[in-house]
Amino acid sequence: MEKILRGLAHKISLSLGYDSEKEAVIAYGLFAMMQIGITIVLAFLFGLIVGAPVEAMIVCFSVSIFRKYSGGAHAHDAMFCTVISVVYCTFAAWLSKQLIPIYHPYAMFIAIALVYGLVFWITYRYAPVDSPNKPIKSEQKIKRMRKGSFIILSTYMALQLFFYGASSHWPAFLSYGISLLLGIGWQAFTLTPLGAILLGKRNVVA
Amino acid sequence: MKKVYGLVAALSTLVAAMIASSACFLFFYQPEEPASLRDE
Repeated sequence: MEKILRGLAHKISLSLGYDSEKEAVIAYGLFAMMQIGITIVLAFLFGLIVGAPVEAMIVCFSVSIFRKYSGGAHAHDAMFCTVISVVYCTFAAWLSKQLIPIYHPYAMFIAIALVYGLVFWITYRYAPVDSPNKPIKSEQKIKRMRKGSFIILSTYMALQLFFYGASSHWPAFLSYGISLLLGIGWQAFTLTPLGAILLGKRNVVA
Repeated sequence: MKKVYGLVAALSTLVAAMIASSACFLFFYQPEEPASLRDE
């Protein structure tokens, strides 16, 4: 897919008289749009199949928004990336529905406290995690990304507590809360050395 | 056709610039970032 998009970017650049650097930027943007679009559409469709499309989207967006600031381990190729993203979003969405019959408010509260405690610590310890194709070297950017990660996590925690409170009146929020927890838990896992082993190579900046 | 190419080029440049300000690509694959977008 990367080759096809590079070809398209080359064609566009030739037509508009752009130089090679502008062509590389267009190819990069095209690839980003394609990868994000395919992943979201597939996660939604598979979410529909397992009867949890909203939950699949919650997992998908909670991972990607947190990832914008925290970085994380990267797959070695785009296809593997799409497959692992879609499989995890679908699995977490399905699991959040399956856990409803055994849901208990106290157990959920303990799970929220444990997961957020662990995720805040992992973020403090490892974020931002860069990659060889997009290194982060300046101290200023590291601080900006880490600060952004904590702001996102704090927002998620507020949202999580809202889902927790709302679930006593609206049962749909039970699975929304579980899927948000599974989303941030997975993204935090990709920041750790164990996550890197699962997904492939990565560099630790912190 | 040139207008369509221009639109695609503008949109993809905008997305590339948005991604450049983040720590990495939003999902699990990171292609090589163009030199002009680097903010290391």
